[in-house]
Amino acid sequence: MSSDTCSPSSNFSGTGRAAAIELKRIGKVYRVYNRQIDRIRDALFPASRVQYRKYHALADVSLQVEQGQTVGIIGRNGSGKSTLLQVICGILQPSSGQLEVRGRISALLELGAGFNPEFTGRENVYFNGAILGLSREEIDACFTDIESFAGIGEFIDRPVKTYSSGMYVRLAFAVAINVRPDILIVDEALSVGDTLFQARCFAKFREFQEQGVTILFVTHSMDLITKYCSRAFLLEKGHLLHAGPAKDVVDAYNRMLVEQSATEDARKAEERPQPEREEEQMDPAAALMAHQKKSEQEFRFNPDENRYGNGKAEIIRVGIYDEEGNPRQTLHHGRVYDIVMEVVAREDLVNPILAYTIKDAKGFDLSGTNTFFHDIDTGRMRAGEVLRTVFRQRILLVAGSYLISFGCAAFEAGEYVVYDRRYDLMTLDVVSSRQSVGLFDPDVEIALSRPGVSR
Amino acid sequence: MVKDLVATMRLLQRNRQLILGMAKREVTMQYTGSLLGVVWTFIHPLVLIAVFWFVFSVGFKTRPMNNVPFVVWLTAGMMPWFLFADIMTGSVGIVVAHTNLIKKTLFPSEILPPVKIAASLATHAIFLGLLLGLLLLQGISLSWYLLQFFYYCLCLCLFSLGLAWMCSALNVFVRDITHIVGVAIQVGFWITPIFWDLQIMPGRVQFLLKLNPMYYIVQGYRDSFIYQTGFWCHPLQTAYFWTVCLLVLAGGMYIFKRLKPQFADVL
Repeated sequence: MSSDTCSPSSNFSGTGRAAAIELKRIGKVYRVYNRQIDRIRDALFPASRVQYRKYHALADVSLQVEQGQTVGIIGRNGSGKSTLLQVICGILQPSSGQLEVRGRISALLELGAGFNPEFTGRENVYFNGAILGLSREEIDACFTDIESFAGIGEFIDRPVKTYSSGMYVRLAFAVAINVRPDILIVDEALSVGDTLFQARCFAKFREFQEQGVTILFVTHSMDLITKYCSRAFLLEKGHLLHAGPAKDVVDAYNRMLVEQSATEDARKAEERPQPEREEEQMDPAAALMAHQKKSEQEFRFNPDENRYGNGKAEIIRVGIYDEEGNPRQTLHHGRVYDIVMEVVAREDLVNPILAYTIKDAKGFDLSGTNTFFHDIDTGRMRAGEVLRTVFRQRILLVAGSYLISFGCAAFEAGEYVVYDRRYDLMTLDVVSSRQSVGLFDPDVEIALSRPGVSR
Repeated sequence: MVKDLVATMRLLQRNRQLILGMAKREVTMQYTGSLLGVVWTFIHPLVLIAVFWFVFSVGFKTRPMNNVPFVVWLTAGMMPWFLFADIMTGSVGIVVAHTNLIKKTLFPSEILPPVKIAASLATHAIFLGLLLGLLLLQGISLSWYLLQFFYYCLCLCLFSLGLAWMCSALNVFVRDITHIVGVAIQVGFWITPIFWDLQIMPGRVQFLLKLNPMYYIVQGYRDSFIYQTGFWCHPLQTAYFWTVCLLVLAGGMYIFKRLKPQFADVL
């Protein structure tokens, strides 16, 4: 087979602005049956009247993606983004509406879907190619490209089960883009790769854009959307809320998040039980339990927290509160919050250090401090004593999701000893009414002036 | 219906490389991690035949069936049943086993039962080799009738393809199908004249037993290897088999086609 099987197919190059993907009033309704057998009866004998409830995953979605455009799909979890992609790919059948897709789709919906962990990377490449409808010869022609793009070296001939997740995504991505699709669909997968690889992928995106390949991708990174997409779609509860230039849609999304978090917080504040007054009268152990419980009611904690330490002290309660003292897990950029932690000493302690750290979702430490850095002497603690520390600060992080960790440690005879560390204990979301580049937004004030006219 | 059948056959033809590739994986998967690897494919049937020979020819001193040693007669009849059982037990859960492909890639799930059939045929070929060896060892002459093997094997594949499509699709919705198939295979083994000769049954019962499509195939294998009888010698039985086979094939395909759009919803 000649090498041009690997060049982009030119089915419709030159026809100008033909729509590569066209959805007309697409709806996806899941039928929830009482019994499994009803589902079969309904499928095989459509005339039989079977009872079911309806769940709308997509409702009345109409959209068009022009050939050669790069389009982002955004929305919160469960808004129907993935369903939409699956419908466009043809994996899910829409319940209503019309769908037209022109050109070969290469989809990366899940990291290494279709990879068999027992087989080598090479075998999996051929298998994946075959699923995409390529013949052995066609894959032969692309193989060197795939191999060099993935850049996993000799691992190509080792079983995929020995791969790191980074290698996994590299190989999967290398296959998806080197088979030269007309339409490339990517769902979140990119976020796994390292920065260098991501950069290489986006370079490839640029190349694709020049070649007229249509790209559709779902991401939570608004940064990527504004950077690479010309247009975007915003989905919410299965409805298409916004369609338009990427920047406008991202703005709309951020506005939506802020509004929603405001109403959500208001609702939470109402539901919050009145503070218990009797706490002081209870015996200390019961009081501690009640204490911990209260903290658990106010916040959503990470069940997979990473906790360790020798237990000489225990972090019994943590929380984030706004200036009015309301518990918050969704923080507004620029406002002041108290990060609170309470530690109980199990033995007599001298000068314990209390600390917290905020990381981004990738595990990168963004900010954090402790009583030691601030030269605060916490003094002696007797066994059973509780110490409450409040870290007050203005949140300057950009909008996104973060993880917060807490720790209690001390220097004992010159050695650093960890009493209790609770890493990634809570998630917190920061919302902002404006976009910003990078990791933190230091409330820049922009001043304009027009000092005369220069000739 | 005919159009659908043709379209599906085209799809299989178009995806033949994928089917063969997956079948190869299926076969190698069975033996990855084992020391002897592919040798096991030989060991299974070999041990089985050895046991039969020992039990029936040495132990029970079973008298030869129509001048053929019982072990040869049994192996010839058992071979197609093993293929059938292997295909059915392997394909009933095959769609469910490939959930990831179905939900996350554009995957032509119709090809899954054919993949299992192709993989099973590999073992079948080894069985065939052993049977031929056994025939020569017993001094039974080989004849052109042997070539009928391919005809009967095709019959078996098409018949089980229909059933496999049906069961694998239904099993996505009700997992009970796996168990039903398991039981049916057990019962089927004994109501098909594999271990016993049809002639020992009274006439009326013989007629009923002949309605079992697997009888046609088991008998056909023996006709090819032992009795040296052509399939054209029982035209009525042949016509009956093909009617049932095509109905099952079309029905299985229809059910698969109807249920397929919901696979991704349910899995």
